Amino acid sequence: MGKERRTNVIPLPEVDGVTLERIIGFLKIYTEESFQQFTVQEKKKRCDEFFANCKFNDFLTLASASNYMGAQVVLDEACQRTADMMKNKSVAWVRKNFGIKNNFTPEEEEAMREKHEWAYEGVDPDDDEEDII
Amino acid sequence: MLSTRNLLLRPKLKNRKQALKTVSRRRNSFAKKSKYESGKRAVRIDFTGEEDEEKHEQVGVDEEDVAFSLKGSARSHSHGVQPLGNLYFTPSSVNSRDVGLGNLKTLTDELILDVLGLLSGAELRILSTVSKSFYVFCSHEPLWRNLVLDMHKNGFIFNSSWKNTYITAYNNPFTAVNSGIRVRDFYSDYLFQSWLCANLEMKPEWLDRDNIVRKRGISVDEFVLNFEEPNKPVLLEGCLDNWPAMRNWDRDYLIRVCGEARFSAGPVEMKLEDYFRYSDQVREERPLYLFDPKFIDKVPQLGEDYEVPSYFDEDLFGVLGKDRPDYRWIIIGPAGSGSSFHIDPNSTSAWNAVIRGSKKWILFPPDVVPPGVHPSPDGAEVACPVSIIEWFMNFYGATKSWKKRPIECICRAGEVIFVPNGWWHLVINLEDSVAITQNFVSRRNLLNVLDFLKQPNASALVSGTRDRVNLHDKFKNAIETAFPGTLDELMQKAMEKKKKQQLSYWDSVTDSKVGAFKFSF
Repeated sequence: MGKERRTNVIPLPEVDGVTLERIIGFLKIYTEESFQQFTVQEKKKRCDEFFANCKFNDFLTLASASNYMGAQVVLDEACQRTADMMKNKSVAWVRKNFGIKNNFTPEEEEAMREKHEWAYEGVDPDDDEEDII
Repeated sequence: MLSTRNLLLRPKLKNRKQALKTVSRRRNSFAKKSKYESGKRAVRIDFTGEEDEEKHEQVGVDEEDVAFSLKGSARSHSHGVQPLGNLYFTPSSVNSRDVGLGNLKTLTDELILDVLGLLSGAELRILSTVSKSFYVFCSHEPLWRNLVLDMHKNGFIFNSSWKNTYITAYNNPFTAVNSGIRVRDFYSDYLFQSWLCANLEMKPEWLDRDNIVRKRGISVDEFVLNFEEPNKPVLLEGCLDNWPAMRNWDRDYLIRVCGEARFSAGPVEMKLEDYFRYSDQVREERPLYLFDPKFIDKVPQLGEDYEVPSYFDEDLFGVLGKDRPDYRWIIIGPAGSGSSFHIDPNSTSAWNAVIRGSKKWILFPPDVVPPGVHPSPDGAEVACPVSIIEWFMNFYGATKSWKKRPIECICRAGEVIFVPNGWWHLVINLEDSVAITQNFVSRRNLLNVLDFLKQPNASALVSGTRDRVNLHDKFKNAIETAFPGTLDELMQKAMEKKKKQQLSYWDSVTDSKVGAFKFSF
């Protein structure tokens, strides 16, 4: 962006520089004519490229910031990608990667597990090398 | 465990576009940010002893001496969630919500629910075992409601809660459900408010005011002259005395007559018997409302059980025959269901006849936007509180201090209310209710309707028909054919009227607050 002389500065206390750049960057792409002409798959590919180097925490920050700024399309992406990262993961994986301590009693845990056996089909095996944070 | 506290309960405004989903769905391209600047309101929650299903619990407001009552069968929040204000009175000031969310604690409650709303039922169940916080969030009923409604477009069998309904539909129908784990020191306004709105009773104060004009046995001419022509609401008594529906429409009859027919309830179509099963059991902020425009096509007998009151005989959209927009609905719903503020489509007028139960109505004239309601400049969308109870909690009080007070009433079985075109209205069922409503165009509002249909954004605003764009032309031509010369006559009269310079309904000084909400083009 060029160096325009600004007489008014708009403070954005909820948004840091990196995130703001991302939001603006994504909006730029999104509003391009060529992007709007893409098929659904092409759009997804383009978005995947854009967010390739974002980690989980980046998406959380992005979600909060874009919510604050009202950038709906960015918020949609951030929420979807956050959700995608939570899919098909084991409980242990989620706890480890989100920094959560298990605060159930063993009895409570066992009771819940028993009742929800069906929910555990299709969970990915843990990938210890993966560092999403 | 929970004792008297002073709380700061911030009203939550979410965006709404007719959909009945109670969790705001960011993917909806019509969702807009609310422009509402929330004020704070002190609320004291006073639980007397242990949860007791039968005990009546009082929720007191500090500044005004007014108490909210919870429904007699309400327990305290099913997982022990408390409002955020309580946090400020705990010695440790630790919110177990944050502890259990880990990195996700930076997101607001709404964002967390938005993310969870993108997951499947199985994923939610797994995540609910991660920590107690996750358990509470993943048990949020609206999440499961959306899953059920997405999956079961042809109806569902409700089983005590949306979560349970989903599980029993998905899996072994005899799977037992755990009754719920309780959390300590978990504070969340959003989750608490959601529960609160689902369990509040209508306060007597909200029901006291009844200032509508009531008439019995007036002539059609009198009605037209005093109410339809000047566009004023009225409650008509005694018009339904001859309706077979008044004698016959109890549950057994309706279920028998409707058989396997499926009616529209929000995004799904379901059998009446299944709907009643749901409405008897459910307790939520915005219950699904059975609202079907094709009920006579589906069950012709229902059409035999009532007739249009003579005041509303003139129904000019009838000239379009099969091409006419939707115009008549059967409405069935439990206490708490209803419609939040809106203006009826296509600039039509309406009548609403209660056959069973009772409804509370609040009406504002066309030039007065109700407090807490924000229409977009073109009127295509309206942002307002999610639930009707929430509107009452936060905005009803404001109507008392306004000069332009609303028209209010309770409409009971056997009564009909006339809703003039362009009027804002809100309706809430006070008990299980069955009603019929029809929208209509008469010569009195024909020109309004044509003007409305002529608008450039007609295709967005006009509703109830597939052929939106051409409706204006079609309608106009059909009127000319059926009633030649009528349009010219009406336009002539309208011009003469303008010259006389009619005063608006409230010939008083404009309320300064109204100016802030008004959009004029």
